[in-house]
Amino acid sequence: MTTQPEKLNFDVLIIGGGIAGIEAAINIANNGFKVILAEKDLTIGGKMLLLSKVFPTLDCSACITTPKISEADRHPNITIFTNTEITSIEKQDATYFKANLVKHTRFVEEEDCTGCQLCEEACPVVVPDQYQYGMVGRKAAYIPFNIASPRVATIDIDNCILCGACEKACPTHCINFMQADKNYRLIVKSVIVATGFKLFDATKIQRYQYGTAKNIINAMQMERLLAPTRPYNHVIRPGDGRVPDKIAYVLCTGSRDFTVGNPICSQICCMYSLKQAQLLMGALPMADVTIYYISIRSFGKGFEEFYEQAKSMGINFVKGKIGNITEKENGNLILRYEDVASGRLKESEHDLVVLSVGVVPNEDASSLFGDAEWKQDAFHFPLQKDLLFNPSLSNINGIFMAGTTTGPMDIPDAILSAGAASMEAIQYIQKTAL
Amino acid sequence: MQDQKSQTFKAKREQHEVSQQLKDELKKFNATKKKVVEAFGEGELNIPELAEKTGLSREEALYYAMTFLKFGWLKTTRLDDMDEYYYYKISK
Repeated sequence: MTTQPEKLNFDVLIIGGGIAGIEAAINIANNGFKVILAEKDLTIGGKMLLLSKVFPTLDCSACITTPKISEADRHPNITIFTNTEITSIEKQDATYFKANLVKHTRFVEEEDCTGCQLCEEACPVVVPDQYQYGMVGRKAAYIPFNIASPRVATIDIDNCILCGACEKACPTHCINFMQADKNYRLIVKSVIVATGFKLFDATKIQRYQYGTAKNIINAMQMERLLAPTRPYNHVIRPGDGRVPDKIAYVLCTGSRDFTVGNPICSQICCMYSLKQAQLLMGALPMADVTIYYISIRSFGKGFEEFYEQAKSMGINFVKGKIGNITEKENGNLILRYEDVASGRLKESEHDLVVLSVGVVPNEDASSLFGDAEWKQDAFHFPLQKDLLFNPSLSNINGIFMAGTTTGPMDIPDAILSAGAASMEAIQYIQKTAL
Repeated sequence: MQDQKSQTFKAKREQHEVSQQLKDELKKFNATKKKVVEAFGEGELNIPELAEKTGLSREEALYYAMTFLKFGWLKTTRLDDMDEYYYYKISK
């Protein structure tokens, strides 16, 4: 059931509430413009909020993200819509766009929810927790995680048995199963696309056995295992709960690989793998960590020193491409690889394998723009009209791009990119107003 | 007004049918929860021991144990002498 659209006016619509979207929103709002930040997920913060630490400083990722989230949340010029889908954006003339949004229902009156989690406690249904990559369960009435913003409960209606336990337990009576999706019609002067990236789906490389072998995880799952809000009590194997002591990283899983359709370097995998390996040396001091790589690309400020630090900590580096991985009966994994140094095929046994998955484009925004064709580059990222001098310009006048929407980059670059996009959007609004 | 609001799940039931699959999954979860709680009893178990006592695979046993740990129904007690497996017990 949907309602008639409510009409709203803003200066800028930002699509995507990850770190780039948040940064762009704060920049624009600080310059006196009204911003709406639309996020499809239940919380803003994006992938950065789920990371353990950041490289090369090893600062706590959530500790950097949450002040930004808080600033955006309380800014008088920023309106945040979570759980919101943009259905269309139409350019009307040089001065404004019309956008249609659907704010999906949470079945909870957001302003009344105190985040007490009593509904969660009462709910009898347990399903895999998508924010922990299925490694633990969550309730059908739930708050995504403790530092979610807004920290408001949601009813997962697809898994709800309508027992009413949550509604009875709620002290503020904010659960409302009759709440419907709400439609909005926006008039905005400019749009910033900050939809971020997707992780490469490692099941596409069948010889690596991801999704089949129990003790092969991807790097984002390892981020969760290392984060303070982790799914398990410690870093343990998902196959049997054993503390691993011989861990392998397989770099370039789904990047720099024509055979999976992603020939470009993902730019972050080497460094996040080095970071995780160092964190693992701290969490599991007796463990052996081996990184299998094609070439280590430590190109940024402080990155080479970070690589040297990893080597000095005792992390093993083997130059070689993994051919295949097979699972033993005890859950251990045999990695078959070409050792480039000796020119020989070798095999090595590990008890946990982490696939350093690459960055692939998020094409969700590509169908939003109706008659105005949203052009893409050869790698399916949005086309950057002026890559060298104005990298945030899209091929549609008035629509700008921020962060990893345009291609792989690390967090500082995503924040710089958001700064550029926000300034371009402000200039565009000021120019078209004349 | 509050009474009316706290009954919205009943009105929703008239619009939205709960599938048999969901009901079956809930039954399965409750049965597994009972098995896990009985397996622990008053003692402590690691994941392979829990799997053996409940008939679950080790992977499933870990999923349930970690979910129960998250909900506060279990707690971690110690790491074994070989530094291989953690032990867990029912949280009072």
